Order: sequence, then structure tokens, then C-alpha cells
Amino acid sequence: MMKVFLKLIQTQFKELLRDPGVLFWGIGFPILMAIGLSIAFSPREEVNRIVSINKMPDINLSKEKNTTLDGQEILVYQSTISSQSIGRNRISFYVTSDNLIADTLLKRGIVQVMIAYDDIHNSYHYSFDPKNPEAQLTYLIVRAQLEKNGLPATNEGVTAMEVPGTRYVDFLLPGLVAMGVMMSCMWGLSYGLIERRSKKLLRRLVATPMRKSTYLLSLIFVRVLFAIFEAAILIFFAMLFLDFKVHGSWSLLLLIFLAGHWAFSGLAILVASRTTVIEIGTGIINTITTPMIVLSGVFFSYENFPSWAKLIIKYLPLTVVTDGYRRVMLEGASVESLQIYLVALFLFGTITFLTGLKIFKWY
Amino acid sequence: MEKRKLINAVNIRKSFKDVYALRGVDLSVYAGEFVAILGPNGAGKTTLVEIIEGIQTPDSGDVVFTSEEQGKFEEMRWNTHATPIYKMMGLSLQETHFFERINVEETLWLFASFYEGVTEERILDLLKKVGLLEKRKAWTMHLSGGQRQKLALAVALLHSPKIILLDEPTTGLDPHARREIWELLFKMKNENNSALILTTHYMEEAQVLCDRIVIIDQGKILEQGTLEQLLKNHNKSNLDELFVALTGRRLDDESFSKAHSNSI
Ligand SMILES: Nc1ncnc2c1ncn2[C@@H]1O[C@H](COP(=O)(O)OP(=O)(O)O)[C@@H](O)[C@H]1O
Ligand SMILES: [Mg+2]
Repeated sequence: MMKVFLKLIQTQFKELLRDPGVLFWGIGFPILMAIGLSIAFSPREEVNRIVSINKMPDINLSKEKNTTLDGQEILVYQSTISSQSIGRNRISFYVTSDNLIADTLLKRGIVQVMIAYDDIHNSYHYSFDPKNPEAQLTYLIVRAQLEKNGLPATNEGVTAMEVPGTRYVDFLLPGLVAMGVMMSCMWGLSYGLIERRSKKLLRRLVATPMRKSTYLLSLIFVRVLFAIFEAAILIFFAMLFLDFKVHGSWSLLLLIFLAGHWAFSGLAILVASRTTVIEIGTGIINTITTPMIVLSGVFFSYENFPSWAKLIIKYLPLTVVTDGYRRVMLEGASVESLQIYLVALFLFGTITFLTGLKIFKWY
Repeated sequence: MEKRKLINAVNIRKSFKDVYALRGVDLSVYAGEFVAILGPNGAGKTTLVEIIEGIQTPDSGDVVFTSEEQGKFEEMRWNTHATPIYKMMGLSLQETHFFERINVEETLWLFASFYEGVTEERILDLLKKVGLLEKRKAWTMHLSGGQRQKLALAVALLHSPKIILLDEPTTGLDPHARREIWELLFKMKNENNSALILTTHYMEEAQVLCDRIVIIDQGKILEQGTLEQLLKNHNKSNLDELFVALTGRRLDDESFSKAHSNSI
């Protein structure tokens, strides 16, 4: 009994270890995961918390390099606060008197707390979404910091930001839609293809006059229909029960949705183009999707990552798709301002699709 | 005029790492001819037919198809004429899984869409012929191995192709089902002018169905010809003896001897 059990275990180990692919993805994936997570969650020396403020009070903060938002300059002041329980927190004040800019900063998840400073009454007003714990913490820390700088919080007011469009759920929803598209393509297309290849169904299908590209495009087409349906359910549900509002035009939303889908379809075909082993396929898919879910700003903004990481993150497909969806859904972006996203996603999808088709292993 | 070579494979070589699957094989098939490729497991049968089917590429050698249109002959090769070759070819692989949750009839309709002129009549007729009429609404994942092979055969024959390649079409079937398929193929021989290449390790199958028997072992063709020629040339009374004489072994397959012992 024990002998059989051990023999079975030994045999399975051998089988796994003899497949270099399984080994690579089996070990490579957790390593990549670990790297991704450590970038995202490592106990950083400092946590950067960004708030917007309409006017800087006259306190002694260090002036930092200005930043820009869509080409507009924003003044930045910084101060640091340390305590045993919350560690070191660096607070960046983005000074903007323009409400529209403050709004956009909020919608993109760059800031989570908005401060209105009234220099006549020397009073503060904070706005943030109480359902977002990060925002709450930021509020408490900023408040403590200002107090430490000699500005007692006697004259403060707080508004729970529950206006649709600026809540955490508004930030989250476009990200979830983007993630849904990615998962639908990577699992639905890639995994399905690899499985059919391993069962020798693909080779039977293409040993006919059927064009290979026709087959792949038909798969993508079906996926798109499903994905539209899934996204529509999510969006309509949010509109109905969470007061979610799509600010941009529906046709533009459809356009950017399709561009994002095409980008991931191409990637999915490329990912599925060679391997016959389901375990390897699963490994590759996980390796590609999981880091993007963590890094691409689906659940929280990537603004707080170190700048070298941001440089890479900005160009990850899920980042581009998520940002694009947010621009249309939350900011009501115009076609012109979306052009760069549309073109990038379309090119990415086309190049990966054609490359995948070219190297695709049908047999 | 010399009979037209529909398929001409010349000096085909193929190796997998250190295994020589085919070591210089020549095979031609004429229009309407039934050819059996007979050999034990691992002889190279699947490799040979899959190279002819364009599914594998040989390390060296040439496969040429000749089509005739209004008295004009055209030579076709895989790298230049894949689509026209597939139009005149029907095949079944050694093992195929179809879409699991698609039923038998729907599977046939799917493949029918890849060809021109496959009618509903044709599909019903084929279902009857391969004995899947009752199973036509069954998902393919619920078919038995034998039924799946019958479905694969129906798919191969769907568009009445000029060239049919069947890789071990009756392996794993019970003797009764096997004989049904032989009958089906035999009838077809008299009706269409299709050429058939089938691989088998059942001597009886080669003997009953085919005009020419090609004996293959360890990646080489040892002998080929009609049954009479083969037996006469080697002065043997049956295929079994001939095989032993050529290879020094019996075509030792359990299921073969069973099928053989209760044969006609
Ligand atoms: N993809 C492959 N990789 C490695 N070896 C293979 C592969 N395909 C076939 N072979 C080897 O080539 C030889 C011929 O195989 P095959 O053509 O399948 O024989 P048959 O169909 O006559 O049983 C066998 O030794 C087999 O192990
Ligand atoms: Mg075989």
C-alpha cells in the first residue's frame, strides 16, 4: 500500500521534472509573482500619499519638482511623518485651484483625498470616499501632519465623497471591466486553443480547406460577443444599483472596448501559439495575467510605485486598456484624446495576432 | 498511356531525435487504387500518412499530387497547393477528439461547411452507412471509442474525396464493427473512383480490402504488390508466413490473432 503510494508519487515527480517547460513555468511563475508582489507590497521605507489642495497654507514644507497632468503644471509640496504604528509616510500636496484638475486626479486614482483650504478662516475641508480604507488612512495622517505643523484641526469639516463619479467604486469598475476582458481572452482563447491542440482536434480541423486565420478570427468573434455581454451586465448593474454613470459616449466606449479586446485577443493567440502541454499553458497565462492584475491599476492606482516601475507599468497592455476605459467612463474623454490608446491597442493586437498566426503550431 | 500517379512520394525521410521513423520511403498511388500499409506498431505508418496528409513535414523527399482538370494535369505540392489538395482529400487520424459538446450530426455539418456541395442527403446517408444514425444527436464526448472512429470515418468521406487516407480505421473495434466498416469501404470502391490509403496491422484487412499491400517495418518498405504477387514471389501460402519471412517476426498483435481466429 505504502509502496504503491510512494511509487505513484515518484512517478509523478519524474513526469513533471522531465518536462522542462512545466518546470520553468512552475518555478518561474511563483518567482515572478513574488517579484510583482514585493514591488507592490514590500514594507517600503516610505508610503507616498498624494492629496490635492486648492491653496497651500503658510507652513514650512519642502517644495518638490512640479508634476504635470495632461500637460498642465501642478505645484508639489512634501512633508514626511513617521510613527511606529504607521511607518514613514510622505505626503505630497498637489496644489491646484482648478477643481476640474483635482477631479481628474481623483478619477485616475492619483489622489484619494481632496483638501479645500480657506485661508481667511484658516479652516480645512476634507473630501474622500469613506468606503476606501486607504483614503481614510490618508485623511488621518494628513490631518495629524497638519496639526503637527501648528494648524490645529479645530476648524475642519469632512465631506463623505459619495458623489457618483469620484468614489472608489467608480475607480474600480472600469478596471474590473478591463480585467474581465483580459481574463476572457487569456483563458477563453489561449487555454481553449492549447487544450484543443493537445487533444489533436486542431490538426483535424486544419487538415481541410478551411483557412486557419478564419478559424482563429471566428474564435475571437465569439469571445467578443461574450465579453460585450459580460461587461454590459457589470456596467448596467452598477448603473442601476450603485449610481454608476458613464460619462463618455457609448459608441466611443464600444470602440475602446473593442480595441482593448483585440489587443488581448492577439496576445492570447500569441501565447497559445506553440505549447501542447496544458500545464505550461496555464503557467504562461498566469505569469502574464497575475502581475498585470496587481500592477496595472485595476484595484489601486500605480502612481505610488517607484518611478522606474511606473515606466514599465504604463506600457503594460492591461494598464493601457484600464486607463482607456477609465478615460471614457469617468472622464468622458473625446475621440481625439483617446486616439493614442486606440492606435496603440489596435497595433498591439494586430502585431501579436499576426506573429501568433505565423508561428502557430497546428499539429 | 501509363496509368496516372495520383500521389507520388519519393525518398521520404523523417527522424525524431535519434529515432529514424522513415528511412527513404517511396510510395505511389494511382487513381481509384486501394493501398494497405501493413506493419507492426512503430513501423512508421502514421508518420508516412501524416507526411502525405501535409500534417508533418519530411526531413527530405518530395510528395507530389497530380490533379486532372479537363484533360489537363497539374502537379501540386503542400507548400504551394495546400488548399486544393485538402479539397480532394479526406482523412481520419489515428486518434481524434471532436468538439465535446457538439453532437454527431452537428460535427458533420461543421466539416461540411469546409467543402462545397455536401447535402443533407449525403450526411444522412453517411450516418446510415457508418451506423451512427441513432447516435446522431449524441454529444461526441459520449461516444464510445468505436463510435468516435466511425464518426471520424464519416468526416473523412463527407465530400466524396478523390483521395482517402485512414490511419488504423478499425483498430480497437470489435470484429463485427470492423467488418461493417470493411463492407462500407468495399462498396465505396465500386461506386466512386477514389483512391484509398489505409494503415493497419490487421493482415485480413489488407487482404480483404486492398488492391496492393505495402509491407513496412522499421521505417522501410520491405515489399509491395498484390497479394498473389507477394505470395508467389516468396513462395509462401499466406501473408502471415510472408511477414515472418520478411521481418523474422510475426505481426504479433493480440487483437489481430483474435480477429483472425474468428474470421470468415
Ligand atoms: N512526434 C514524435 N516524436 C518522437 N518520436 C516519434 C514521434 N512520432 C513518431 N515517433 C517514432 O517514430 C516511429 C514511427 O512511429 P509511427 O509512424 O507512429 O508508427 P506506426 O504508426 O507505424 O505505429 C516510432 O518509433 C515512434 O516512436
Ligand atoms: Mg500509427
